[in-house]
Amino acid sequence: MSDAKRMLTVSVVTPEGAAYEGAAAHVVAPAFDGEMAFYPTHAPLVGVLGFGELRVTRPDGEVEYFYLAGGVVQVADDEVSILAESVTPARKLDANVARKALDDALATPATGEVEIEARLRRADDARARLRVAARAAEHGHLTADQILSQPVQ
Amino acid sequence: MASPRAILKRTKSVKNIAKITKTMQMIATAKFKRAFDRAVAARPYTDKLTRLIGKLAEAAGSDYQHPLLEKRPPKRAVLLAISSNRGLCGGFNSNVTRAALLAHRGLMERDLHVETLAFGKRVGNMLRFKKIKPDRIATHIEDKPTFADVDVVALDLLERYAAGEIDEVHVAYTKFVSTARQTAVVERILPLETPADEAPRTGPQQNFVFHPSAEQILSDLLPRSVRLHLFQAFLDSAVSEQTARMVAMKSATDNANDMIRDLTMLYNRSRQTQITTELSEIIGGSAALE
Repeated sequence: MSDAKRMLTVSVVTPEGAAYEGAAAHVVAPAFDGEMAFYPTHAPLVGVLGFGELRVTRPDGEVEYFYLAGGVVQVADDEVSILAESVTPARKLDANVARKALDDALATPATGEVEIEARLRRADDARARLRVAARAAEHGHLTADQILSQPVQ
Repeated sequence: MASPRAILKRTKSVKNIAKITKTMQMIATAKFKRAFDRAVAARPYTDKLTRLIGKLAEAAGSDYQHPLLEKRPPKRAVLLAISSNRGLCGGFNSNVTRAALLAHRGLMERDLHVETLAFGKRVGNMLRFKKIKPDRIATHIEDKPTFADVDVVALDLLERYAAGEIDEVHVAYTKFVSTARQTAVVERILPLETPADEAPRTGPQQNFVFHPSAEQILSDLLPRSVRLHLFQAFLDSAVSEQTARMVAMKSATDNANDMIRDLTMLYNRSRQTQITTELSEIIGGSAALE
């Protein structure tokens, strides 16, 4: 089998069920410190994920966009398992809700290390939601190749 | 013997009861299906997480320390009892209550300060009746627990555990073993068992890249597994409740049907007796006239 034909087996699972199961050409996941892309023959890896956009490119070139709120990814033998806290299809995100969540998070007074950290997490989550929602609205009518050629801001 | 009319009236009311229990059985069956699917949907996540934790624990080595694994001398414990808001489900609620009571006594004997949290109106009331006043009775998590709802509880417990306010967390709930068997159990969710003990040794080892280090990933995963454990308990409880109600309502319907049969027979018999009496009265009367 040539490398070009190799596919990843991807499963994205949450405590409430599977969000994506099946083959994929490649996957881009939001790591805790930036984005991580996985192609077939990727080295075995375990990584922590943060808030952000999960892109799964199906074998036919279609890209599925999800919003992922923290989790872990495990890659081995062309199998990508993503254990996520929650996964939402990007087009189902509501930018207004996200903005409100961000405002709420920033308006909450926080004292002490734990509270400040919790507030930061909420704000990060809301910001990432906003970003993914905005991108979903933007690329709604673009093809996968066009999106891939766009720079990530 | 009761008058035929009175028996007829009773038959009618039993028929109405049978109709209601039959409907409740059907509703429980439909709800069971949904709850079962949800419980099954969580399973791949649980399996993968357990395996991953085992692998990481191996990589991190046996001297790995984490607050959630550490066993400190316990002083304060939290006992969660999970059941339902509604009755008419056989022994479901009382079994959980009994398990919780036993656990409560066990904790008291160890001289711990026990805080009891009841999830479900029934178990809360039963505990109160047994003179254990739950510190909180939550009724908002219904028969369809969402991860977000349960997570609020789990995060609160984790936070208090981290702050040293509580040292142990136990949860009493009904474990769903199969459709034929659900058992009320009490499990300790905090502190965690050392993961290396329960993880099966996997075959050939791959050299994983850890991003960040195995220790850091593990410390991210351990709280997750606690939260998941609690969520699983709620899911199991929801499935068990519907199963219990299905069984209870099935036998209630069967009983009602038996009763209807008996009552119908009784009615026929008493009607016949009445007719016989009337006939013999007429015959007796005409014989006296001859």
